[in-house]
Amino acid sequence: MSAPHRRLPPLLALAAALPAGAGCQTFESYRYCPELPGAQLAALPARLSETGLYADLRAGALAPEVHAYRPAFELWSDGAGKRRWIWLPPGARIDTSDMDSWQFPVGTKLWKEFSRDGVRVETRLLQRTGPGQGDWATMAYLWNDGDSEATAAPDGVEDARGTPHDVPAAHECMGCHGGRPARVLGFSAIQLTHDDPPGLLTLDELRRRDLLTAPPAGDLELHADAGARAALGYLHANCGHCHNQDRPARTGLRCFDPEKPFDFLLRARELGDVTQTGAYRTARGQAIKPGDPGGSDVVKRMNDRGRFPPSMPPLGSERIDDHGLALVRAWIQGLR
Amino acid sequence: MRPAALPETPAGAAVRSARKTAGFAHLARAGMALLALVGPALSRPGVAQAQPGAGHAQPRAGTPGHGQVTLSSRMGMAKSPFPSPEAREISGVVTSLLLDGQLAVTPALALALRLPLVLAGLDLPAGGARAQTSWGHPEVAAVLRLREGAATRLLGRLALAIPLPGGDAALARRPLDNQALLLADAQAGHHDPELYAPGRLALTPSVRLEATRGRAAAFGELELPLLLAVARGTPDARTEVRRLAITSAASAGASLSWWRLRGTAAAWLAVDVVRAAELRGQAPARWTLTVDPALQLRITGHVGAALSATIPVAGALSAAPAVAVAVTGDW
Repeated sequence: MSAPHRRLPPLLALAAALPAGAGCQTFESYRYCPELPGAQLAALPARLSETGLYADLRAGALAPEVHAYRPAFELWSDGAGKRRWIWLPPGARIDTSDMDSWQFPVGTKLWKEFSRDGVRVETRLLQRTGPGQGDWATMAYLWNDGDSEATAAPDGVEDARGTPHDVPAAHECMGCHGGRPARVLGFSAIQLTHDDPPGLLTLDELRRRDLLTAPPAGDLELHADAGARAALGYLHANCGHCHNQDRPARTGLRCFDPEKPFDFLLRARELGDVTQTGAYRTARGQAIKPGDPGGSDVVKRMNDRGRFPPSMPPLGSERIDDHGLALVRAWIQGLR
Repeated sequence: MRPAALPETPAGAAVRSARKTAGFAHLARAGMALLALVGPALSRPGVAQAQPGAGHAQPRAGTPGHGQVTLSSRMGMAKSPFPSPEAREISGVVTSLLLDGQLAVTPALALALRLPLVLAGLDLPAGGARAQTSWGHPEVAAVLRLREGAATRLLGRLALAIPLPGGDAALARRPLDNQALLLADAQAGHHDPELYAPGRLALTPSVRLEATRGRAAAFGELELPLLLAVARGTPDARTEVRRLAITSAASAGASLSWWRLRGTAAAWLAVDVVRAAELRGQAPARWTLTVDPALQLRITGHVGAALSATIPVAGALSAAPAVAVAVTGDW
């Protein structure tokens, strides 16, 4: 083989290796969510009416022992209206030995319904399928035009039912839920510490019904002024599920793993005052610049919906939350 | 497109030229290293040039047995209309690899093979992404030299591309939803639907006219891929899938050579004469106009490299330009 012929293969190999090395998954790698196992998807019902949420779907009658609840601090979903329910297997209790990471019994189901501009769009199901930490199945059900049924939408839907609301693909769910060991968000000691009207599950109601293995002694509320509570609660609900320092390792179905070690989660043992919170300890002076909301990355990312750098949250939102932004700005402005 | 032969320049002259400018010393060193790598091949006159995004490579004036291989990689973010109720448009980051080889069988006939591979990061509805790797359709072609004058030549080409089976369970259920291939097609400005139209066998006749004068060259090309559905899957009832789709692609361009370089600019107009699939009631634009600039470098007598772009300027596509690099070798 002559000299040029000897050099041709390495040159071609180099040309092939360059794009492969800079390939798709090395670019914005945090966004890549693994496919759900087919068996896991197949195990979930094809219709919402078969999931156990309703006794009579058309009449809107819930099944027995399905309880509505509301978190104290809500996830921003571009202004969508939401309703939430939980069902626990009969006789089972939630293992609350770790107050910041409740373990739910196998078979537990949680649903969240999204409405946008007066249109009921989807209801999501999160179901514990086994004893392992990652044994959870997820699915979104898209409501039909007559609101008489919702069917599984494993690939998700853009601009569903004529609204701007995007239904996530099943494997995107772990983008948020995979960030906490318990996989459940919004149903925790801190999130259920509030005075909801009778009929909704709260921490008090869970205690009263003896559904917790180790009930907390008192309520779990941050000892701070109302502004700080609202802002840190907002960061807890909207950022903490990814930005926390005890999130599970990125294996299995995990995605959306942050690079920076910020921790925006409120924890039961860190509610004495603001300086004990993860947000204060890990982000103050970095993403949070006291007295300078405009110079704080937290505010910049919340106030943007661009892709480079990624806006926050990077998942499930196309609109800036002006109210949430105002809460966080005001809190940072007052920080010293 | 087959470029005219570039003027030969010895390696030493290239290095001296680069050294004239002190500010470019680092460039000269890099150039020397590159030339040292491939320098021994400089003595051979004429070279085939890689031209990603500027049409099919064509055979050189053909000694039987002469061959050429090009490996190109087109990268960028792509968007495409998508005939589905779940998403009217899809988008993602796509890297399309294309191995393009040809061999002169007689002075007037060459056989060609193209093998595409697509690596895509597909955007999901809520902001996530999933990876999908798909083979495009391997294509075999016969290229005929129909007429040849002193400065012009007319080439005819007939190609057959066959879709490969495979993919995950979702694709087996809905083969028309191969989003990686749809995005690769969009990224190529719909120049090459025969390589990427999901589930379609393609028969593609094309003609190409080339004219050369000194350092300048011009070309025009017309393709008419006939895309026959061989895997229809089970599309949504609101999506109409046609057994036969027809796309036409026409291009015109010009190039200018200097030293080891050739600059080319081409415009491509692709028109969906009969669309492969359509969401009832939805009518996206049927045509796409792109501009494809390219810069080619002859490294040695046998090896060339090219950098090019595909820039959508009007019609159905609105994504950012795709950039391609290519390496060509011949013997």
